[in-house]
Amino acid sequence: MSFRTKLLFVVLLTIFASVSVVAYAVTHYTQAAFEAMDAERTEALVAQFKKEFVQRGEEIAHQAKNIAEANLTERMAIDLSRPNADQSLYVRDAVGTAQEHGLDYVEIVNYDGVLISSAQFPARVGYKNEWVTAVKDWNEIPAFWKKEELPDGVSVSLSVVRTNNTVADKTLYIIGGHRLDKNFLASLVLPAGMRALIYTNLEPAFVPTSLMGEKIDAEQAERFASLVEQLQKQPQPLVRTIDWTRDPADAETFHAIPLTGRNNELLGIFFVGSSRKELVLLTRQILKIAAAVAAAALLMGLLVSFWVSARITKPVEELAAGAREVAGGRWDTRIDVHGRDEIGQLAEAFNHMTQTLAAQKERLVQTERVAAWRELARRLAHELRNPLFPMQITVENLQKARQLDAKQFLEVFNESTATLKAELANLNTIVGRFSDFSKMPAPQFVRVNVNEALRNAVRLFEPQFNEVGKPTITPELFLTEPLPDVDADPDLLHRAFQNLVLNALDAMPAGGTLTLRTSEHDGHVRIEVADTGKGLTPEECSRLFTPYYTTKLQGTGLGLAIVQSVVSDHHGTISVASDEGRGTAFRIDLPQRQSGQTTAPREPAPESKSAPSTLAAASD
Amino acid sequence: MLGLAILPSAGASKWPHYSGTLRVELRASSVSLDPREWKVGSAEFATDERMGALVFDRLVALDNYGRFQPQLATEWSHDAAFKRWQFILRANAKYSDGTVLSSADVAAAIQPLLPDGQQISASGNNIVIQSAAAMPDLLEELASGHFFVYRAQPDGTLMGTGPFFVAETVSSSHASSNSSSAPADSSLAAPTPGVGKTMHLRFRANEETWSGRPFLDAIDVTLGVPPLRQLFDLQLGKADLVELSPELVRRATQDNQRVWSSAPVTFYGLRFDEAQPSAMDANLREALSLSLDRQTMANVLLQKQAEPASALLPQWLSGYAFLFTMETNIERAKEIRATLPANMAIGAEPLRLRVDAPGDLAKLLGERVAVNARQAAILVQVVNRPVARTTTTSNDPAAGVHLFSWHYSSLSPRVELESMVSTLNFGNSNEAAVSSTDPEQLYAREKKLLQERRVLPLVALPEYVGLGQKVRDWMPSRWGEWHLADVWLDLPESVPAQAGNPSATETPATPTAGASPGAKP
Amino acid sequence: MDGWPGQIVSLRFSTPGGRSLFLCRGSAAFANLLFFHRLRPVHNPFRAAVISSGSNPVYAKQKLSPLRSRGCLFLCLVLAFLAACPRPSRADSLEDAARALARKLCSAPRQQTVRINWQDSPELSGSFPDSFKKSFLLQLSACGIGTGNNSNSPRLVVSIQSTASKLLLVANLVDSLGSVEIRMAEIRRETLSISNEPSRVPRLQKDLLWQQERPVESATEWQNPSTQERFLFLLSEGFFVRLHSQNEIWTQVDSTELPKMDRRSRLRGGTFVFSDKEAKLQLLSNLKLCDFEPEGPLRFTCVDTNFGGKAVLLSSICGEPPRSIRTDTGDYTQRDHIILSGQEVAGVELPAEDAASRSLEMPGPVLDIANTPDSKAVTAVVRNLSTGNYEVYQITLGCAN
Repeated sequence: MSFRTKLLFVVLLTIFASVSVVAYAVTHYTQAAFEAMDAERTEALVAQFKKEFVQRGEEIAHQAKNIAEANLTERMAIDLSRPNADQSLYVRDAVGTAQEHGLDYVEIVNYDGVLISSAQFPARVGYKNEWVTAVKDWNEIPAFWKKEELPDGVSVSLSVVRTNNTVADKTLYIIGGHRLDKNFLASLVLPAGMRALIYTNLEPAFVPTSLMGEKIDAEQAERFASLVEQLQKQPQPLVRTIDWTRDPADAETFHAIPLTGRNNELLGIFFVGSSRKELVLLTRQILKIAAAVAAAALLMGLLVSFWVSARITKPVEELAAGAREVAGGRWDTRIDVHGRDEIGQLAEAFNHMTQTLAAQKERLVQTERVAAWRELARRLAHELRNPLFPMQITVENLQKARQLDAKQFLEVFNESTATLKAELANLNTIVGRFSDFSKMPAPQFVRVNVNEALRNAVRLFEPQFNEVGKPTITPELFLTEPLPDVDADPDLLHRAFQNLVLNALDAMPAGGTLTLRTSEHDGHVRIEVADTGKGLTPEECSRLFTPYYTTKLQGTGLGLAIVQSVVSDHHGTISVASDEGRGTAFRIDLPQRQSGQTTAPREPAPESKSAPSTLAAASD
Repeated sequence: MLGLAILPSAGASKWPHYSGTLRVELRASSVSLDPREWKVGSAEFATDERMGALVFDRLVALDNYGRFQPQLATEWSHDAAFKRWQFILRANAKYSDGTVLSSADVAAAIQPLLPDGQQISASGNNIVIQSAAAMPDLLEELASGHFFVYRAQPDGTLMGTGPFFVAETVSSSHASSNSSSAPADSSLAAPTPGVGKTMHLRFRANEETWSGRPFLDAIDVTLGVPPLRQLFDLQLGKADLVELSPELVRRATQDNQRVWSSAPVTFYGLRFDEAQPSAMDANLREALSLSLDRQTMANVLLQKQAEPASALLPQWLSGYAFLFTMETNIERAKEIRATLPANMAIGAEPLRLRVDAPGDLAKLLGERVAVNARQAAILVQVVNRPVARTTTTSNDPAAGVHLFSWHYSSLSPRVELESMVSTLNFGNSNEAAVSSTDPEQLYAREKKLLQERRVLPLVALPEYVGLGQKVRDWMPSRWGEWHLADVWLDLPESVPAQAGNPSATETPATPTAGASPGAKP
Repeated sequence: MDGWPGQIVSLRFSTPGGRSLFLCRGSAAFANLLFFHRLRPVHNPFRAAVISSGSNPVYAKQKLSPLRSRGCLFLCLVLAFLAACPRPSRADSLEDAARALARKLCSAPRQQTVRINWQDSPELSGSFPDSFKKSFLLQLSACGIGTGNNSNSPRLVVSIQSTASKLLLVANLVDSLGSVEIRMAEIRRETLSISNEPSRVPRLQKDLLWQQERPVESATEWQNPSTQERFLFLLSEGFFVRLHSQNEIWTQVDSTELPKMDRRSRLRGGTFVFSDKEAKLQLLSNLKLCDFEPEGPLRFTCVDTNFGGKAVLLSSICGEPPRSIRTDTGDYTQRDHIILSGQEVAGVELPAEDAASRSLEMPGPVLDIANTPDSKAVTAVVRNLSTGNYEVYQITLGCAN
């Protein structure tokens, strides 16, 4: 993975992380805030309802008081206090009174607890209401929840008892009340998204139909069962959220307020429901926005980071490219430098480096060339001096011979011209050799069997191995068969091998063993030529292939240079390994195929007819 | 010395006038003027009969003093065994169209009304009713109920010889637009809800009537007026004669309205029904009966406007009702209740009480019964009556008890009791109806019925009538016949211009008609 | 006495003996009873004769209405027939009924002695007819049931109940063991009509002069200034009836139809007015004011008149200025009052506590009041609500002391 990608990835990751953290935080806190807000709102509503109740109670109390203090009531009280008063006179009074004072329930109870008149349940007239007479002073007691017997069942009311004490110790009781029902609910003010339900608790078990309120159906009511039952067990305020559907937006939070009677019996439950819809929708909204923001941020991040990373990594990449170029040998590689930052400096340093490298190489080449030319000059001088010296001598002899008789003169003359001739030939040879070297032909590649080539080269020198009067040399050949053919120029190859063998013979004046070995190494063919001569010093090794360098007393020192030039022309490599006193081994690796070469079919190895001359010359 | 002075009119006339229209308001939303259609015992019967009495006459009438008065029959006699009665038809009694009433008409009219086994035959001015069984109380029968004489018109309407005839029927929704001129259809079906609720009936004086032209020119009857509205109209002088529902009587009297009350004519009772098995349990019925507090019902709940009933027939009809007593004994009721299987009339299966009788009053009674029963641990659930024109016999399969009302329509206790038993079928089927009028047999029969307790008497209600200040000579029968033919209106404007001696020495002590000197009757 | 219709028709009014004649068998005692009860309050009563026939009352004054004479003939035939025949468990008179009831008790499980409790019934407005008790006890003893006050002997409660058309005699026998025996007998109600007015004596006093079942529209008493003879003039169903008091008994002198009026009219009424101008008694009927001779032959000379109401004056014998009399707002549904008013005439306020004494309750609606020429008394026509009879009262103003 490239540095840029890494960088990009890291940057993206960072951005994403931060965005999501922010989004989460925002959502979380807003939600919390809304929850709190919602809770407050409901609390407020509940409080409002409680206030409503109180106000209602006061209204009823007020009305009941009015009734109790009305003249009619006073007259009634006086009349009823008489012995065997006719109670039937007042049986219907409650109905009218109720309508007059806008009360659902009005009951008039005599001092002895007998029900004189009832608006809600006239049929009960004449029965006793002990609970009324049980209390000493009703007038201070505020409204309370009360279970109301009705002809068609039971209901719950918010009731107040007030008394008329016109007649001493014969109090007349007025019970006024409002029915706890839908109308009661309707009269309460509800903010949007909130609703109030009332459950009248008249059965020990939960009765769905007892749950009154807007938009409440039986199957909805069922959901309150557990809540109601809980309150039935213990009447205390509860808060519970009911999910009407899977969608949390349909959830509703209900505050349950138990309505208990004077004996703390649970008569009803007041549910204040606040829909969570707004809340949920709001939260969702925020989430959406957060998501959008995040996405946008990511995209932005992507672009930015791309740009940034591009900005940062471009010079680095250029450096890398430059380095590769240099490695590829283009010493003059340059990077254009931007900025003065580290990368800039790095680039500068790089340019500087390549510059220096190039200069040094140039100098090296110069020195090498100078050295080569000196060597050449030295060798040339050396070579040419060798024949010149005898010729000088001869010429001097001839000058001297002019004082001798003709006959003696003739003899000396013949002898001197012969020598001169020989030496001139010698000179000619030397010059030829140099011209040869100068005019090394470009290789013509064909398929060549290397083993064959080696055998041919060795066969040329067989006469010398056992030359009389000379130490014997033992050739040993370890040739791998079959050995794949290689693309090579057979003549050049032949000359290279001759030179190597000749070089080896020269290295063993006292005889020894000449070892030839071939092998195949992935795509290359390896040729090794080793002698058992006195070997070379490391310094000799390093200069071995330098042209015109030789360790021999005579020889142009071109042999190994030629070998190297041939090998390199074949895109091969040559190396030398030598132990002083033990011998020297040359190793050549030749590629089997020459790239982009159309090789001629294999041709037989060149006959050694011309070879002797050159060899002779070489080994000379 | 001052003697007598002839005074100019003091704003009130002394003698009856032939003028004025009596404005009557009735609760019933419809009236049938065909005696053959009247449902015995039903609440509507009273209204129908009253309206009928304006148009039709009976053969005889019974006055408040137990004296049979000749109507269309001037004389009558019977054989020793009371199996054959002979009536002499009044000579040239005329129908409202002037045609003369014939004995054949009478026979034709009465025959369908007579019970099986009684034949009526006419010859000359003689009318003979005979039967295999004795008919000792035939006069009482003929003097009451639907025994009116009429002649069926080709158009299906019935014509009578009575003091009035139906001039027109107006449906208030169409104002006077579709007032069909007389004689109107005799059976005025209840107007369909869409077509105007209230209906006006206009009766005109029959100039030809044998009993003398009634004082009133006309009687305007408005149907379907709610009780309270009637009272208001009376107070505002918009009506001269209204039916007062018992709960309004006290109010009316407190308002110094003239209120007349009849003898108790409507009976309220509980009827048990096989529909609920528990209702057929004699012990339960006894417990329920013992738990009922009739005194309170009548004297407190109904503000003394009703009488506690302990018999099926009222004292004024049977004479022996006072012998029956209905005991109230909660403790005993509880004891009996305790002996009953728990499931009976307890939570699981409460005894359902359906209020068949119309009106809030009946509902109130039903609720009271439930409250009483609860004292004896008997659970009674009051179910309201179906919104159909009441039929006391209609059986709601669910209800084991029915609170029914029965309007007494016959002056013969025997006939009344038997029609009650047969209509409400609370009698033992195998129990034979009494044919004789022997009070002892009648008493025995009623006693048996009451002991079976398949019917429990609650209260008996009189009828109440509110009278306008101008109404004079209001002489109804104790059992609620209005006798509007004798009524006249004291209308100041109808008094002739004053003349005579201006030297008036005396002036009325009070300006009101009734209080002016000698302003009587 | 036998029951020939002819004689019935020819029957007029009672004999000076003060006893009515009755032809129908078994009715005599009843008439006796009627006499006894009806006219007890009357100091010198005329005794009306009532003959029950086919349950339809017919009056001796039948002749007053020619319309009915034929009916009467027939009815009396029927009557004769009916009177002759026996009726199971029915009686023609209270006594018969009493006996019938007693006989029924005899058939009950034999009782030696019973404690009798006569239960008064509102219809009889109190006391039991003695004749009833007598016949009842006689019959009981006849079948061996005695009466006593032994507390452990069975109790017998006897009551008379009236229904729409009948009187029901109920005997309720409760023995010591609590077992109840109930016996009943019934009787036509019209056979008993009792007016029983508690005669109070406030300063306003009333005395019953006359009563009958047929309507009376107006009545006045007239005394001949010279001969002091007393006459009672009645207007009844379109007839003028003149009665004369002989030995404190009213006897009809004659009667005649009132000046012509619409036959079909219900309005048969008229009233007597006394004009002090001409100091003569006049008859006002059908908006005609008519003169007539109180004692002479009955003839009317009438003139049309416009007549509103009339005021009636009553002067006390104590020389107070005359007071005007008015009636309360009574109707046929309630009892009426005759009230003394006219303080403005007297010019003196009456003390409050006098209020009661100034009003006089009448047994029914007052149909007419007319005063005597000397205005010492007022004649009031009242319809008795409990009997249905038309009664003529004389109202006088007593003296305060």
